[in-house]
Amino acid sequence: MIVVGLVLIYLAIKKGMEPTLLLPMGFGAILVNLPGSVMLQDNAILQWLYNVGIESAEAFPLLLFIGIGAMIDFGPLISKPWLIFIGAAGQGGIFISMMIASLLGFPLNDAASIGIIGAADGPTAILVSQRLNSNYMAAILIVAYCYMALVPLIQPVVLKATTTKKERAIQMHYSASSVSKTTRILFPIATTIVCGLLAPDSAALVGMLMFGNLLRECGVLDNLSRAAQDMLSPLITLMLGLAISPMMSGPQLIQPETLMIMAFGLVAFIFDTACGVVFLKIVNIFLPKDKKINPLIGGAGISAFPMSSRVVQKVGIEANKQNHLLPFALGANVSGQIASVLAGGLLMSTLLPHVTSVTNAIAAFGNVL
Amino acid sequence: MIERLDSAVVDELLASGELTEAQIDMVGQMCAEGAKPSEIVSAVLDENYHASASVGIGFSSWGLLAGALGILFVVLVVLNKVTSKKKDDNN
Repeated sequence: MIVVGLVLIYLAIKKGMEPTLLLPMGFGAILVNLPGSVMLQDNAILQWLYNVGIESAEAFPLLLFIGIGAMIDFGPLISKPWLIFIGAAGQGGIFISMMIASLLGFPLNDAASIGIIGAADGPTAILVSQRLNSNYMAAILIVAYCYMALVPLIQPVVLKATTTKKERAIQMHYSASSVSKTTRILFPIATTIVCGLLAPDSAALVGMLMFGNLLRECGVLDNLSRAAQDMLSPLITLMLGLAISPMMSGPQLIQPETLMIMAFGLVAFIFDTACGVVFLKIVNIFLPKDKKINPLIGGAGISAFPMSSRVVQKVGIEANKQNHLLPFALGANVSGQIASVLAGGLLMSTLLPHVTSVTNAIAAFGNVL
Repeated sequence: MIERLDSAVVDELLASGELTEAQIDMVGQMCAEGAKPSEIVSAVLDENYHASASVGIGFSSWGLLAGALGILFVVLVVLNKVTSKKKDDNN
């Protein structure tokens, strides 16, 4: 595991892959796996960070969402509301990889947690795997963040494989319509209420994301908004990386299932991208010739913001130098952010009652055994 | 194992409708053997759900997600309409 820690540090420093998370994770992995390490004792700092920041109230992933919400401009989505459906299509990978993992023998709580790697959303992956009591939380988290960093490598291949050059060259005309300040303020409030009512288990995640966005848009807390973006977010990510390391003791991570989780993660990312593209291809069947949508935009319906939008823009430009897909891709990308959080909430809504009953039974036996 | 629990506790666990007596007993046995909570949760879920249940859960969750985003779409359209109308009125 010390070698795994060194590899994570190498990826963070040399390859620039999610350094704010992989660097502390790698260093923490070394710390907890040193012979005679005291880092896993109850009062040790790393174990304490895990207990407080992840296990007891999932504070770190939720606080991280405030920072993410403050970074996101939902304007492109608000001005083109139809882009929200790309977010729904773009979560296909989550459900498809969950089904495959379950059919290949993973228990449903682990299968759902593995599927959520496809959300391309680290905090959601942590929250779901923690709440569903997954056996593979550390592996899921590492795989999720590594694939997020690999979006610029994975997505172009899938986008080119699922579209023809003619489709990629479809030109989109963006008519910039300004979004009023009132709409920008009402959007996070309305989204929180709608999502909270429809999927109560997603309320914490959506709520924190939208609260961060409200900080950004309200106009009276600019300092806090900037602090959430520039300081809270990287600081919490750093804490999160350290807090995860107690789960990275050798036996928990070095097992054949970890390799399978890596494969499922890749499947999830591929299907996420492909489902978004295929969705727009189907929509195009019903649209007149001059109103066709460039299906590449569907590939941006995942949560990896703004990497995915940039990839779509780049692949679009390669096919047609006049193509400017970025505003549409950004809208699809932020809808993917909302959709991935909702997808996690919906999976939790289905499975949490069972998990809670079992944990209650475990607690009851804990008192008498 | 189940007999070690107070009957009120057992009733409460059964009332949730998620666990059978046999499953509560299984949880007790696994606890006694020192299994991790995550292993116990997986074992019970494995017994409650056939692997094929994931297909139903997957597609129904995907459908619900599309429905929820559909509602959000309507909210966005209404929001845009209301605020643009206000803008027009002000002009």
